[in-house]
Amino acid sequence: MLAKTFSCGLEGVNGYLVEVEAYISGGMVGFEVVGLPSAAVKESRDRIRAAISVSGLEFPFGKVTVNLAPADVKKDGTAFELAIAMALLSAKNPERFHELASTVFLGELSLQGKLMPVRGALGMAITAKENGFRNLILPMENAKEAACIDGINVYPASTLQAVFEHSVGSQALPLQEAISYQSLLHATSIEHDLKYVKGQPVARKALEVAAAGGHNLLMVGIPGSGKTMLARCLPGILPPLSYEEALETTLIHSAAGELEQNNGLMTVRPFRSPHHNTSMPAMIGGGMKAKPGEVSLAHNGVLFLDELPEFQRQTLEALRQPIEDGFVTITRMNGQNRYVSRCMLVAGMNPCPCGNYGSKKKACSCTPAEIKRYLSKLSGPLLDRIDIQVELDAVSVTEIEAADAEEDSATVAARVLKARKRQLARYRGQSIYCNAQLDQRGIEQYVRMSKDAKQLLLQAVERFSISMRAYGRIQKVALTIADLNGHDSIDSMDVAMAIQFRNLEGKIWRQS
Amino acid sequence: MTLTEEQRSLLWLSTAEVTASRVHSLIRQYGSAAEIRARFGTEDGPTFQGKTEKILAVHREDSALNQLCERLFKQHVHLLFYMDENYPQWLRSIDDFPYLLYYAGRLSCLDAPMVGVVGTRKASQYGLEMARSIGYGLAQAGVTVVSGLARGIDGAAHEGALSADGCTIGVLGCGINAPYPPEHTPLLRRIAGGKGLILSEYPLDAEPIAFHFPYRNRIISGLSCAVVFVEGAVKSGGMHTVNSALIQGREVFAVPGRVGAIGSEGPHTILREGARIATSAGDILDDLGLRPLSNTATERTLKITVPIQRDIAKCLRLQPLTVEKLAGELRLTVNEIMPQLSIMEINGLILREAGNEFSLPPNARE
Repeated sequence: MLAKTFSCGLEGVNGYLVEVEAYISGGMVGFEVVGLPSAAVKESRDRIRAAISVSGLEFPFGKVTVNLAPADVKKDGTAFELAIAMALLSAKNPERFHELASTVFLGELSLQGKLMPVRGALGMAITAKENGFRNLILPMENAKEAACIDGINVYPASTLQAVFEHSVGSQALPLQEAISYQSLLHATSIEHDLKYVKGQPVARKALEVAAAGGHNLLMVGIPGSGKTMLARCLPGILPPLSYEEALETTLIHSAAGELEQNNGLMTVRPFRSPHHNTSMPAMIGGGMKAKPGEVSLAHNGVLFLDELPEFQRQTLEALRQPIEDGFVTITRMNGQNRYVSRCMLVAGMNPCPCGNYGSKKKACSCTPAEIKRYLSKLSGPLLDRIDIQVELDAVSVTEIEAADAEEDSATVAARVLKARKRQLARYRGQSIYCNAQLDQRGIEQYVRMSKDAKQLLLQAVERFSISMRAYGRIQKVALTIADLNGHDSIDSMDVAMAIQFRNLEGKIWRQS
Repeated sequence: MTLTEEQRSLLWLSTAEVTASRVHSLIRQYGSAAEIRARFGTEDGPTFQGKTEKILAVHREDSALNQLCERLFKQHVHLLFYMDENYPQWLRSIDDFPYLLYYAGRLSCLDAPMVGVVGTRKASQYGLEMARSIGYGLAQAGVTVVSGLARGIDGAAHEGALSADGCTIGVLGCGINAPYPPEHTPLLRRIAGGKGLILSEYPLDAEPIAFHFPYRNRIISGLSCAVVFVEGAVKSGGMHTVNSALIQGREVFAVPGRVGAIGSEGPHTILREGARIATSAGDILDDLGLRPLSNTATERTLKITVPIQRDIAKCLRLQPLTVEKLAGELRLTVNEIMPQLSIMEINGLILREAGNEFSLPPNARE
């Protein structure tokens, strides 16, 4: 008595097809799972046995052997349980069951016979479709993310019994409606709107320029000056996620089990703000199973690091490569995975350990040596990847009360989108999406400056002793400001504005 | 370098960093430094703390002292003893005058009138600018600028004097071979290698220990006929120098700042107590009678042609402002103001302070 069903496993963010074979023979009563199952898969034997009997179905009598093929890949996770249960139920009489060969089963079983959600349903649904399967049966909670994939029938189920009845044809499961990405996007509202951020016009401008050019941003200001609030508004003013971007981002979140349930594809750019005690593997990905880290979870979105100097130095240094290259390759004993990590880095920090340096209201109690030590935790190479740096002062209550209505995110987002479109047109045919990605050669190729602008910049270089690297950064930021202003070549006002966002290196930091 | 027995004994005492006040009282007790050395270790000899005693015992041998002299010679570090002819008279007049000064550079700096310029290490742009211009103005008038080679005001004062191609003296709180702060090593070289002088009462490799610095301050004020306090809090090293200047009977000047700024509290406190006001190097020179009264101060005329920049300068004349406040004041958007601020900053018309605040440079006139 032999039966075969199909399920999927998860490798990184992508699924791979697993054939589940069940063989029932005479002999000593027992239940074995072979095919490199992990401890979680071995445990599933007891859950499956209980779930079948509680659902009022018959557990096959005899020696049961379940094989998970391909047999040389370590099987982890609990998504195979539904497929194993179905293989066991159909082993006695496979003809009774419809469409076993064209269906992929996903789901974990509870002792009560209920279906529990699984990690990475989106990636597995894509795999099922790519392998030519027509049907996908999975837990209710995972239905919406899978429903975003065209070309496969998605049947959400809540119990093992319902799946059984569907398969033998006594009662069909309702078909999940396909969800169009446009309709999801339509229903999205901005959670953090810029209109609720009072004051800080300079920082708002910096945020807009950063969003328009994809520049990384550093905000220096005392606690309570609104760094976090501003950073949270960033996803709302970035251009909306395209379908492909949404799919990429949701895949990672789905695989990491971080997806909000019953939501389908993500339509809002992710905003990740890991605490400063985050370890290096948690930041860039790793662990025994080489899982995606914060930088990948922030893919197509924003990675916000508050209290930047408090992060471990090695964590920050490890961030450099993923931010620069847009992907990270994690190699561990159990495999190698490559995760995309194209995100904007937004960092917040205090000007000194006590936070009051440069404040008018409170005295700074730090010694120059302490300030120096605090700032020296940020390496030059890391700061080199941050194009825009801006200082924030605390906003007083009277200022907040007196403030007029501020511009809302939608207005800013429209300007940002226009600037981004100019960039996409300029870089057509290149693997460049925004100004921040320009390297030295790109700057020479694409940056066009008026004569006045060039002269002003050279004067600034002279006066502030700007380094070659900072010079390139100012040019990139000036290009973005020109894009925002709709200028084809950078004029002197664009450059002058960019200089305001210049690296703080020559200013307070080295002086103290 | 041949030293007398007395000088050798003073050098010997200095290797263990025995303080000036202790050495003076010992000399009063024993008659001379040579006598102290002779009696050291005997029953009626002087007693020292454990660590000092050990170092003194090591260096008591002639060979050790000879070795030290050799090293000093190789490193071009010279010695100035209190009984030497060219030991500055001004300094000689204070209590606890140093019995031995290690120096590098030109002793001729000590011949000109000297003025100390001191202040906080955490200086504002305004303070730095003032220290620089005062240092420049004094040096140009032939005055030697004395300071402590620390970060902030001290460094700016030295820089100012150097840029006028004048004389400046840096008094260290550590050994000449282990200068502190390390980032001022190039500055130290420029002073010692040029027209300036580096002084320290501590042996070559002495560490920059916290208590050295306040003790060192008495040398800064002692060398000078007047001390200028540029910027600093009420409790600060600058205030300490001012106090020792008062004890020594030196003239005290203070540079006024903006009321409410922390760095202004020190100067304002002493102004209220009767210090002289110094708004430029000219004020100091006039008051000290070092130069006939004149008004060729370090005033600068701002040439502004763009109307919006003129408005900005007008606003900043009253007080330093942030971009946000400037925008509110002038009823303009930050988009319009920020580029103008860059241009003004590049042209040297305004200064950018910590906390994103802008101010006019001191002594600027429209």
